[in-house]
Amino acid sequence: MAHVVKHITAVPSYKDFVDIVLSRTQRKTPTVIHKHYKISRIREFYMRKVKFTQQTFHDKLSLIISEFPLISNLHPFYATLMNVLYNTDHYKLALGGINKARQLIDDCAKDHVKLLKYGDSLYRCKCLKRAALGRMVTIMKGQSKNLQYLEEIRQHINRLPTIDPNTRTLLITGFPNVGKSSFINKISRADVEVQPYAFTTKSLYVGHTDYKYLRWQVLDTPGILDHPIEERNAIEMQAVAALIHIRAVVLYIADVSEQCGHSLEEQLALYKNIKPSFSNRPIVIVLNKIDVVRPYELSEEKKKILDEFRAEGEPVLEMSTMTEEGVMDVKTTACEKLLAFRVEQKMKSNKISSITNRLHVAVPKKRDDKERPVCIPEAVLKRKKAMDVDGANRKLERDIEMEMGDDYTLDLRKTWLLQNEDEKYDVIPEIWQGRNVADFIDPDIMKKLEELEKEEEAREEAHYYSESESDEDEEMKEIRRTAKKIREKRTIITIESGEKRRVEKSRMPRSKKRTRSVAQLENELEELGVEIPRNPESHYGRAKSKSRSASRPPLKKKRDESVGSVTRSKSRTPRDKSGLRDNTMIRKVKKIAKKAQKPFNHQARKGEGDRVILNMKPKHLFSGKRKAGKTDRR
Amino acid sequence: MHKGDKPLKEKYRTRHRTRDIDQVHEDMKSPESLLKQAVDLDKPGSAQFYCLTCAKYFINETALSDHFKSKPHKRRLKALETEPYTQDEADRAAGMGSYVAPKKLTVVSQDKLAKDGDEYNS
Amino acid sequence: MRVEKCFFCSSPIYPGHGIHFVRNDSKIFRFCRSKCHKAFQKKRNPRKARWTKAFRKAAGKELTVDPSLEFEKRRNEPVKYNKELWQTTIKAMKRIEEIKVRRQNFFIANRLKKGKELRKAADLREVKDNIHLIKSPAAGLKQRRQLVEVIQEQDVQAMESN
Repeated sequence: MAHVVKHITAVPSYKDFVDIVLSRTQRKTPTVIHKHYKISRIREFYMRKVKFTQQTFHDKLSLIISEFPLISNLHPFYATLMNVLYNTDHYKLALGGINKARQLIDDCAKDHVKLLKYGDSLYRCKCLKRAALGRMVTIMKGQSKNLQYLEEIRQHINRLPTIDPNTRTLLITGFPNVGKSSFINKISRADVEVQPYAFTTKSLYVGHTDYKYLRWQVLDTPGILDHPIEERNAIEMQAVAALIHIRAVVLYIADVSEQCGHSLEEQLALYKNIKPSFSNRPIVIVLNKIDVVRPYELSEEKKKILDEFRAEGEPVLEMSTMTEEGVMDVKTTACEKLLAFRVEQKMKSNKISSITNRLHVAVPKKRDDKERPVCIPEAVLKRKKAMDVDGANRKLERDIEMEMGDDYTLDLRKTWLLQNEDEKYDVIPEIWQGRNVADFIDPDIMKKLEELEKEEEAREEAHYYSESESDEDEEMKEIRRTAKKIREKRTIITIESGEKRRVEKSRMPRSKKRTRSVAQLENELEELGVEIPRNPESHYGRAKSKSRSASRPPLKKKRDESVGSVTRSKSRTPRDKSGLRDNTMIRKVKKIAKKAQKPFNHQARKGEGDRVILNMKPKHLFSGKRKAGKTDRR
Repeated sequence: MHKGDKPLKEKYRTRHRTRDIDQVHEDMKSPESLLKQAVDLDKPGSAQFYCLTCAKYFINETALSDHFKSKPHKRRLKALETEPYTQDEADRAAGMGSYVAPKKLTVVSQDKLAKDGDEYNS
Repeated sequence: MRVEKCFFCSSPIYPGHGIHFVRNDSKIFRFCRSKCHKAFQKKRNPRKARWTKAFRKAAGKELTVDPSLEFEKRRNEPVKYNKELWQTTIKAMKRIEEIKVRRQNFFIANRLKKGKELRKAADLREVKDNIHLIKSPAAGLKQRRQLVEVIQEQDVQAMESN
């Protein structure tokens, strides 16, 4: 049944149910509230509790309702089975009760939340919450019996064997102890306990077997189909009804040896009794235990009964579960019969037309008796004949190749048709200086060339080519050189002026270094060919000398060292010694400083201001497997 | 074209070739088949808005008319005004026969043509 | 075997060199090197690229119309091989090449003449107008003055002696 109901979660008893929900509420909602909180906050706090409890109840109950199977949605087999096992009315009532409880809880929560909206104090709100939860619990208490009942059903359902009502099934019937269970064991993997006394099997047993690469169910139904209908009670009748919904082949197993305690007559009676229940199913009668007594060894009376079995119109087979004689035979016959039956049923159904419409086998008919042989045109035939006759005479390139063997080279030139036969194997020039000779080939090329030569001569005579410019004279060359110099000079000037105009530096030079000097001026003028008179008397002549001191005395008098003063130290006093009186004081200060430094040395810091973190992520702390220790100490 | 310049490389692949200008010259001799194409859902605008000179499909009438006003289209018209370059011209330039300068052609834009057609109709 | 001409730059393509591109309308384009092929892929106009023969011819940089250019042509007329004809043709080719080169060179030299004249005029103008950039007008003034003084002195002496 697992494929019908996948998995049903356990249904807790009423007490557990309430415990679960209330503790959940306690855990999942805020717990602390104070008097001084705003009333809106207090109301909200309790409303949340009520709503949360209601929601948890709702979810849990919905889960139960949704997980338990609805009988109306089940396969009729299961529906009847459920009815037999659990009494449908009771089951429906239980689920209905749960549904009602859910609705009541929802309403209750709604009412109390409404009331909480008007709660004017912490105390009142708390009371309202208590009342709400209390009422919900009371509602649940009313459902305690239903919960218990559902839990029982759940446990039972989970233990039911898996039966698929739609697949191919072998249904085994017969008196107790005729060897039904041992038959299942022989053909399937189910391990049914088989014991030599009657009524061993108490519930449905299912085994699986393979035939024609298909999966087959084998159902054993002890205690249901093994005694006549008259002796059965109402519940057993219903169980039979359930089995009717399964598409199956019915195997009626009879014991020939009568070791089961029932005579063959009784078995025949039972068969006749059962048969109407399976009026639309294929039936196979199996005679078991032939290892004890072979059918032909039976007395005449018994044989008559067997004949009666055969007269039923169903196939009668023989087997022995002990020696496995005929077991496989029984299985194949039964399976084949069911398959045939199923195909027949499908053929009867409405869908069949849609399948047959798609199938069509074409069988062309002969149009007439006229012969239609292969046609070869006469021209083709003629040529074929000619080739057969003449082909031998002509010498083919292939024949030459065969004659010469490895020395053969394909010669295409021998068929060329030229004006002079002896030119056939000439090496023909194709290219001359990047030009194709073929492009120049023209029968009257010489005539045209002559014309060109004449034209050329005429040009020569007219001094057409010699009209090239006379060589330049010396003067012109000089002029060109000068012009070149002028251009170079101009480019230099433009570059320099561009550089001067750049605004990278300040316009007024900050340094006292003069950018213009007399020497520069002199140079420039000399380049232009101007001589400058050297008159030391002139202003220009005076300015030429570089040192100023000669021309002008220093404005400020140099400070002389005072005689007899103590020699001044040449360097500044070191910082650690400045402001200290004498060596003892220096030593003392050093000592104090060292002491003050001590705690920082402990921390590997220079001083107060040293907040350097040398290594933000030391490798040994952040890499590798973490075994002992953590990221900040290991 | 740089070796590593993938988009440019893709653009110049043979399968991305657009129509050459000499092909456009050919097209302009028989424009009907290109201007009145059957509906082809794979082409932009189902191949209903085609610029003959630029060999380009547009998605709708406005896009096409905007294109006629655009620089690329006018540039293309200008380029089409000279005869297409051929292998023969290359040969002549190489010294196989005298070089003949390309002739000027008159090109009428497709939109002008359409208008003229309308005038004829009206 | 044929030596083809590049579609783009008109240079000769020897067998085994360059690329043939066959467009989907079965037109063949031959390129002498990847430079030309790429330029074609970029849809450049050979008449506009300055480095091609087509540009040079179209822009009048080279000799375009001349009877010496009329010899080499694809005539598309079948001619049977004839040793004599081939020999004369090769002889003629050499002579034609000579004449052609001469004429082409002359054409270019002739074309460059104008520029030469212009440059000469510019040089003359430069020297005339801007000589002060390299030579001051005052250059050699003193020497000249001294020379004048010496001459005057000589004159005075001569007069005195007389």
